[in-house]
Amino acid sequence: MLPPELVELIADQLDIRSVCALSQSSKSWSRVLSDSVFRSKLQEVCPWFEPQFSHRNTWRECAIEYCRRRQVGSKFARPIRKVDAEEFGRSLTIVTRPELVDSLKLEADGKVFTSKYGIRLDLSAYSLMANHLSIHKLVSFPHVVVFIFMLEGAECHVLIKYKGSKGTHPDIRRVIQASEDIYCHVLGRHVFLGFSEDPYFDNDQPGIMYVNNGAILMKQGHAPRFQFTCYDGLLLFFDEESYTSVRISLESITDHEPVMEEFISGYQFGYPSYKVGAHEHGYYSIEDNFGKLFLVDDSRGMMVCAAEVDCGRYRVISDVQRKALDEVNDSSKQQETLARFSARK
Amino acid sequence: MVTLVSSDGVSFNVDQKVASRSALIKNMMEDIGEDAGEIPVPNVSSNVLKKVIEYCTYHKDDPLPQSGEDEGTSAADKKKSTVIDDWDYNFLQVDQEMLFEIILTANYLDIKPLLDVGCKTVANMIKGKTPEEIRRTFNIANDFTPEEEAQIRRENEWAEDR
Repeated sequence: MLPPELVELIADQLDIRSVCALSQSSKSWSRVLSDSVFRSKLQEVCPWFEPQFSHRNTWRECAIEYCRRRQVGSKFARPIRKVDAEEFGRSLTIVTRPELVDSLKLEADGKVFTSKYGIRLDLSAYSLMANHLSIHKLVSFPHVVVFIFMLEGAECHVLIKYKGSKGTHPDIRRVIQASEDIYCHVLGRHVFLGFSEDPYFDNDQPGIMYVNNGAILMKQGHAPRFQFTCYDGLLLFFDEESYTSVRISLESITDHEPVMEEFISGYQFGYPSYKVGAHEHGYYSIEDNFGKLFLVDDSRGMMVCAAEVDCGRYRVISDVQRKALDEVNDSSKQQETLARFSARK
Repeated sequence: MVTLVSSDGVSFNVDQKVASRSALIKNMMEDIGEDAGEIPVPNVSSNVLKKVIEYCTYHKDDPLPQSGEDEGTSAADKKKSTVIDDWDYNFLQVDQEMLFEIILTANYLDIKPLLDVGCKTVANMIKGKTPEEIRRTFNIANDFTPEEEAQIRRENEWAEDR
């Protein structure tokens, strides 16, 4: 058998499906294919599919799951079902995250914006002093700041700056044609936007963009909702009584249209009540037919559904693994996750 | 002329031009000077070394790859270069053990074009195949334990209750 570094050269020539098949052909092939091979293959086609935002533990498992979904008749999302409280052994209180919305505070020179977590971004190229700037969103995470604004009511600019990146210039900059309603979903270093195209430019159809490489993942009526979350490499949408998962990848943009799969949820999300605003607080609240309140936390790409058991306390009802739940609830783990992001940059 | 000696003690007299397709041997010859004499190639057996010399002889007049080229190889270059030329293709129609030996030797002797074409040949044998077809191609046994087999089945299906 060849050593791993030569196997890597061979894997360079292969697509993700062949690499996955190879790893399942024999022990010796499986052994010499390192997890980093699967990682680089997966990042070519679905860069937002990461073990930490999925039920899977390794890049290999993620890659195999990605391939599995390409097969005819494969299910690609798990249904939300009621999970016995016993399974978790305890009630959980969902800790609502710190306010994500930031305010535009400029340094003394009037050029550099500093986020509340200390990420600095040079805005001097955008004549901020003029009155024709309208801020759509300013979303601050400890590891990233996303700044969406419109200049002279025409072009919508998206600037992304990661913590620990050099200088004050944005790491990613996009100009999009979009009308007012823009939804921003941040998953680690991955940023997604849901937006309507400018009605004068095109039909008023929603679209979803993977901002990191500027790819439009869905458009022209494929996207069922503005609000979405991303987990297990899928885009997930809530509906009144179901949720839809969308298999999507960078290769699907040219290959085929996104494939959707709908689940009727065990719980009847009868009349979705007022959406609290996923960007501001990181969760939706949904009221069912019996007036019971549910929280759906999609802020970290995980769907954590919780029913209110008494004031301010929620019991988790979705089938998210304990690992993921602990991560939501354990702030030290969050710090660790964030440290990993900054290390990666 | 320079003499290469395989691990099993067989000597091959080759032209300096041919031998210098190997960056390793080329550097050695430059270090030692004109009268290099015998150069042992301890990791390579005679049947493999003979094959590799055949390749180097055929390609002795090719332009040498620039050093550090692999750093700057773009994705487009990679794509373009999946084509294997006819002579190389026929040259690598060998059993799998020999193919792997050639790749290992190309890596050890630092013959980049041979390493590339070897890896591409293996990749072409794998591309688009199922695990079962890969086993047949390489004539390898399915050596997974029943537990590991079950695990793979789960990976391919979708474990409802994971």
